Amino acid sequence: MTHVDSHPQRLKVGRSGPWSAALPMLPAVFMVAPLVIVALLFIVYPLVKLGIDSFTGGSGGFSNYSAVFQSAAIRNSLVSTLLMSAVVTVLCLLLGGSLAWSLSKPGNKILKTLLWTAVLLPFWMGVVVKTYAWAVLLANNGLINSFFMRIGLIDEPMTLLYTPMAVVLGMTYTMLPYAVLAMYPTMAGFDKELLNSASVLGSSNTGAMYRVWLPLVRPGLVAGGAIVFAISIGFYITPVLLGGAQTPFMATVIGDDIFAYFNYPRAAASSVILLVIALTVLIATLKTVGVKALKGGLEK
Amino acid sequence: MKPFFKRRPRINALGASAATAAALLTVTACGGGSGTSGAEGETPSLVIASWGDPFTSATQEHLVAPFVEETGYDVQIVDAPGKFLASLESQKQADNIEWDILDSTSGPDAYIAYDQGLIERMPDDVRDRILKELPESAVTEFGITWSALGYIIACRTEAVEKCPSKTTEFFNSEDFPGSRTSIATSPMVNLSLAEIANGVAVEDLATHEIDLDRAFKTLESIKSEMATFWSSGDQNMQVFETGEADMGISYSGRAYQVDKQGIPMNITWDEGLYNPGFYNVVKGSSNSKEAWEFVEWVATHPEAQAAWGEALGYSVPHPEAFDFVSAEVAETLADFPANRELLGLMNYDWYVENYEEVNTRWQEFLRG
Repeated sequence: MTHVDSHPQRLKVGRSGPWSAALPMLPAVFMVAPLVIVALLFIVYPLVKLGIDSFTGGSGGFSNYSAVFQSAAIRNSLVSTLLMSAVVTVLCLLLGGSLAWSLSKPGNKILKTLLWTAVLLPFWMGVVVKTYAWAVLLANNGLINSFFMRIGLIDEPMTLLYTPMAVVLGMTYTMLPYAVLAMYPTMAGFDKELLNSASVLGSSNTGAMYRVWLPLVRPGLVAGGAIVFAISIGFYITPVLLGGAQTPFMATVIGDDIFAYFNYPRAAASSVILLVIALTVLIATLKTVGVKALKGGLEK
Repeated sequence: MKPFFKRRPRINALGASAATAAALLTVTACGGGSGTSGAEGETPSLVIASWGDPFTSATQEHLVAPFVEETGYDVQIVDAPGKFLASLESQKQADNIEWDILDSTSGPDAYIAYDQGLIERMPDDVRDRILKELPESAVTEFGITWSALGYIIACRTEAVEKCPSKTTEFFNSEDFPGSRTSIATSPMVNLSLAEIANGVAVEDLATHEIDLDRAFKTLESIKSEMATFWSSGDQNMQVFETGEADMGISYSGRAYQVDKQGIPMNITWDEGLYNPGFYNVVKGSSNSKEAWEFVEWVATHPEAQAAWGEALGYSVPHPEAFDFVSAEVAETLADFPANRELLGLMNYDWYVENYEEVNTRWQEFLRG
């Protein structure tokens, strides 16, 4: 303090005008540099290298890509990965949409706190713990089968674990918080009076939802769906633990190529294919609903 | 078609940079892993790659600790379960070999690693000395067998009316109904056992060239009974514990563990497979002399082997080790004579030659 007071002329050479959050160029560059360097080194470089490896590894050129598509096992895995992820996306939109809508409406504080906790709890649990919990529920001697057998609905346990359905359930549970958080901002931003206006103007309830609500919350739904789908196609632990080795899933196939068959070039090609699909989905979303809707979900 | 491993696979950037980063950390944190060679006046240091607990602590307590006491060397254990070959490849690519010794490399991996020049050939003098203590079958060009286990047929006695008493019966789902399981990550185990069911004699298996069409047809015939394929030791136990599988091809140690946990298991060694792991020395290790010294120490200390084997339930190669193991543990081990004589050996040489076709067809069988 005294230091500043004794050199009042210093204040004058400082920036003029009101205080601004924007930094001058040079300090700004210095402050951002570490982040940029880390991103370049650990995100951009490996991804570029992965892309290069997929074309130069093995016999080079497109040979690794044709190896991927020639393998019936990998083709099958790619199709079922996309299918299962699509089902997960639809389920997450339905369940997450209703949750986000309920959370955005005014209501009982305690109830809403409980609902938020329920939505966020799986977010804070490790994926292995979450997945094992499902294994315990779905096993032949698990909770669900024991319950149905006790009440006499079935005589023999149903096969639930190690099926594609188990994978879809586990993934939906994991992705639900992402869906809710992605859709919440648009749901909260929706003016509920609009529904009243619609009904005053003679619209039925379903008509109001379909013609007024849906167009306005659509960006949130699309963004939420895109995020869920893009993350889903990369799942690894859930398909292994709930689907078993025979349930085809891309990440499992890539893991096998790296750790069991030592076929890095083909693993690189498979990874690039997944990456391109995820990027295409995200870019298409960006084009249709704009960067704001997508960020609304990612920022939370 | 050229088998894949004949080419030198390129490692991805992540692996290489991770290896470099890990190497930097090791050097700064410990003042040199295998980087510091056993120069005059310096303590030689060894890095052993192992499988994580309980494996690592048993190796530390029963093998490394007494060895360190005797030699004064500095020995560290790092955990890299199931990633030996992938990590070695990236260390080689980064030109930075961090490891000296591999603890219990799985059978097929060891043969492939040797074929790819990732592990060292055993020096003749070491080999001569080790052969004075171990049977010839326990010593290969590139190491000693270690932590052997059996691939056997395990069956929950409470789940089915009758359990298969040998491999051939396991493949007969008409007379032995029940849901089944098997290992996902080793095509050779599945194919070799299928060939036994097709009438190949157990003692001929080591040199038998698998008839892939016939073997896959046999596997296909029980695929609808397969509840799931397991891909880790945990899952191996889990499929029995949760009731998903009534019977299956299983690691011997894991099957006994399930039994010990209160689920009665019928475990038959008849027509099973002997699956040795290996102690190897990494090619490019700067302390290879000391590394072989460690391997030789392990090979020639039956009492330490016994303590290690008893702690983990894995078998050890020294015949005299069984003098120090309790009777009930001994009969659960793959090297126990009554078990060992029932087991066949996989034809690794054939596998190395037909690696690509076997793995492609296996993946297609599993997920096609």
